Amino acid sequence: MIEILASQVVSGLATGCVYALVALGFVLIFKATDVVNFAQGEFVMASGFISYTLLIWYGLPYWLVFLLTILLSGVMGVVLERVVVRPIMSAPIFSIVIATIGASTVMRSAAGIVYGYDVLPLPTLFSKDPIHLGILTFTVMDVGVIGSSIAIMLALYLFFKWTMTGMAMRATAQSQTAAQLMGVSVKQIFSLTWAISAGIGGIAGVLIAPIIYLDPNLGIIGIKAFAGAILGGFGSIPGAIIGGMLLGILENLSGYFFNAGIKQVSTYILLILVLIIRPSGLFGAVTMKKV
Amino acid sequence: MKRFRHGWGVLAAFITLMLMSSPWSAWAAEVGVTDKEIVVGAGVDLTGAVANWGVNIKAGMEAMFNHVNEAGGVHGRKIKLITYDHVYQPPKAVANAKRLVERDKVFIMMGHLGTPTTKAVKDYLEEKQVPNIFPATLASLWATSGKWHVGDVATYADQTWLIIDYLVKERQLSKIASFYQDDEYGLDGHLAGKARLKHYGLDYITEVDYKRADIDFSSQAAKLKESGAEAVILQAVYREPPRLAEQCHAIGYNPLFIGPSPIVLDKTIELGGKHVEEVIGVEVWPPPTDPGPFLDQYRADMQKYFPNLALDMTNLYGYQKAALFVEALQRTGRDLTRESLLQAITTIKDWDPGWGLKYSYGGDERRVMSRAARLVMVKDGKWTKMTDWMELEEGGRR
Amino acid sequence: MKKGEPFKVLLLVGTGVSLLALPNFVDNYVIYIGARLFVYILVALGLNLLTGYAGQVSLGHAAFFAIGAYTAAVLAESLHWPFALCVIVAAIFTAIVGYLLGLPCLRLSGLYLAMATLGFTLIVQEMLLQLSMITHGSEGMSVPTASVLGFDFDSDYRKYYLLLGVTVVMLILARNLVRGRTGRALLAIRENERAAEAMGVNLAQYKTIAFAISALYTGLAGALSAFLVGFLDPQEFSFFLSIQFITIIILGGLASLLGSVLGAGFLIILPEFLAGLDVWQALVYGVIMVLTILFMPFGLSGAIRRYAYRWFGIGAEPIIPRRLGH
Repeated sequence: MIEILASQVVSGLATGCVYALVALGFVLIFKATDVVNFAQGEFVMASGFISYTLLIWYGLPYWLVFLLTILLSGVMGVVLERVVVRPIMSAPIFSIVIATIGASTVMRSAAGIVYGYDVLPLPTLFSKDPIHLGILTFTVMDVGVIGSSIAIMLALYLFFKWTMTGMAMRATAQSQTAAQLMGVSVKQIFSLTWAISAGIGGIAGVLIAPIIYLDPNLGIIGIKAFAGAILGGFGSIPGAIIGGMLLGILENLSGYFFNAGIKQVSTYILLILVLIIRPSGLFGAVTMKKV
Repeated sequence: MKRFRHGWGVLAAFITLMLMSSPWSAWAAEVGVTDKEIVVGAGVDLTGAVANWGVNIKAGMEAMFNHVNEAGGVHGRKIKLITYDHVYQPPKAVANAKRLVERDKVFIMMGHLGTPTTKAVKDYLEEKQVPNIFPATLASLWATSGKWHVGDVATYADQTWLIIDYLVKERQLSKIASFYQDDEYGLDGHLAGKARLKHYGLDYITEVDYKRADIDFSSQAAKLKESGAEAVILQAVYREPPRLAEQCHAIGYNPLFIGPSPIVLDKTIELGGKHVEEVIGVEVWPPPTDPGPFLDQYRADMQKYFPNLALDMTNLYGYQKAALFVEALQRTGRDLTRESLLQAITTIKDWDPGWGLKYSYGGDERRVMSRAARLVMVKDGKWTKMTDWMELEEGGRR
Repeated sequence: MKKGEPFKVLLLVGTGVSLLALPNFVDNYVIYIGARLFVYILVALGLNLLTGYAGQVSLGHAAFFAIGAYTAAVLAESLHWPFALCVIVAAIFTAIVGYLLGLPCLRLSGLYLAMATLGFTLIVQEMLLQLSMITHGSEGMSVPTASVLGFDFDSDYRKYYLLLGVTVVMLILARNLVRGRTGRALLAIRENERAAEAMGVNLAQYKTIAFAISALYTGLAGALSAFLVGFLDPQEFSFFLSIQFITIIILGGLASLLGSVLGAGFLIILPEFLAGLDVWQALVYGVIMVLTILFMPFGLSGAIRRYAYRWFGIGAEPIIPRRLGH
């Protein structure tokens, strides 16, 4: 029984890491621009299809596909920002959210038209054969996903802490006016934020597509990641990450103890309970607004 | 106050626009039938959860109809197919059905896709006396719903009875588990299996469900392993068995996997690779690669009209429906009404379109055209015949 | 008369007459769509009250819609209550649920509130499946025909007029609500909760009332929809539906009754024009949605008000608050 639980936790952690990456994308954009990007899930989906196209239709090698996918995802993010968000930047938040919803619909149906709605398998570097380590049973895939995710998060952490651009982004997130006064081009930072966020979504797509198979409706993962980000506290990056991982583990464990329906709902029950006790999520800061 | 009034004005404008797009309907002896044309409707899923079934079934039907139309139609009438996308949502299906019946004035509804979506339009079609011919759902419901509904091939319930019989009698297994989609589709086979097991004095050793969009079955795999089930019946489609098999193997669990026709697609093998070796399925019509004049014609038509679609069980499914319908039309003759068509369908007995399988009307208590099935197994990456065609007993949920 | 008054009166009368006469000139399908439109207008009115006027984001309205629908259907099927009673009880029950949901949501705002209400939608959807003894679960549930005192609403023609009547009544009630004290209190809460409180607005009371009324409208719409469509399936009451509802009021225009009507029209009528496009339908719809919001960030009603002023001098230039960044 313990072995089964342990392996559930490990595979839950793997899915949770992907949720965490997607959640990270959400939070980055939110912190910089106050916008909730409902197309985040579609970035993941699109990158999955991009890597499929590069790998299968053009036969490029894995490492090249990986890099190109991230690059192209980043470009996609910038395009979305310029075309859909920038023009209505000063409009009410709700309108921008609707714009991203519209964009996600367009992306989803475009993928459906080009690739059809059939499910496509994406080959992967990591094998899915089981490994036994003491009481744990997991696959190389699980390790690969967890490892890559942590590597990305670490890279981002270093980026934000030690590079000028990273600092510029943090400054913009705190106060656009002050950042501008310090010589930061806020517009460029916005584009960059969207590019990075989409790029992260791209990585998440490449990691998760081999597990769950590609199809245009894959973007639904965005909602789960969103829930994870809220659970951890939407304004905080570590919160989003931990929330995502917790969500993955929790889903798996409740799937084991209850049936499929309860599994899906248990996460939301937990979320509501957490929010009742801590209205800003587990690690979210309570924001003070000047009246 | 101002906003309020402007609203009404714009509303009127919208509605006027709609008014202008109402088509005229030609007077006809029977709805949907004119001198030169028969209009057939189908509500399918083109962009939702079972979209690839919808797209392919539509293509298969269109291929057959194009073929027939090019040869001059049936008794001088060409067949026109109108389809609308319901995205696997019942209210949309209802709206689309109304559109087809009241606006497009279709003769019959054919190949309506999806169990919940077809259930949603069932009462409406009966009320309007529009035949629901060969809906694209193998739920056992359609075989026993009365005169306006006719199914085509063996239902999920029938197939699950076959599976249970095979497992208990041929393989001498008693620890049987059920892995099923927790909606009306999965429940049909799942409950039928339970009923059949009772006949042997058994029950499922464990029942594990999943939601349609689920991607991860590690908890289900864990539960199945813990139960010690020797065989797992998969009331699923092609997406789940590969993943479930993979995750079961990942925890060192290797049961016998077996399931009804929706899992018997090349897609299953493509997705599952070595993990789906030795999975057993039920075929209720021959695969697209079998020889024979009917399948030759199918292959030629698909190549001609839909060269971009791969030959697949899904479009063959649509194709054979259309072929069966055309046969019924032939038998009805020139005097075509809904009643005469339904009557003609009941006269079909031992009709083989050219692939070795025969259609026969099953009787008023069993309104399906075929109860044939055979078992197949994945061997070396291909679905291979295990048994010959058998005539299934009628499976039910009790 | 003020400038533009005669125009407005003409418009109102014209619309009223067209709507009343419509079912006699078009085919049944159009009538059905019209009836569905009224259902969605009711939902939009409810949601706008909560999210547009009171500023409380709700992704939970699919749940209220479901509760209204299933309550009415179950009462009709199991207890054989008369139609009118089923609908009224369903609406009131949903309002109570709305009130109860509003309580824990008092502490939440913005994204967190959105997420909590989204969770509510998913939980209710799952409960509909699990409580299959009452709701028939995934099998779906047929709804008996509506009838009042022996008069059967068994055709879309009759249902249309029923819904038209109910919608007009609810629209008038909503108008009175937003123009009165409650409406002003809600707007005050939306703009700045602290300030509103300082002015004597009881936050807890108004927020929960807003939830309750909003749920009432939506539950009523759900109940009527159940009888209109005749078939219920838990699958349709998904978070996608909640998103659709929010889309309606944003595209139509927040805090605007006109907006509720227009937004509902957009959602129901536009796809009808696109129906022939098959797989391209969703794509075109998405593009239109994006373009609409890009050119009319304050929704259709916002744009109409702006141009009514600029071109015809009707009304006043709407003051558009601009986000200035932080």
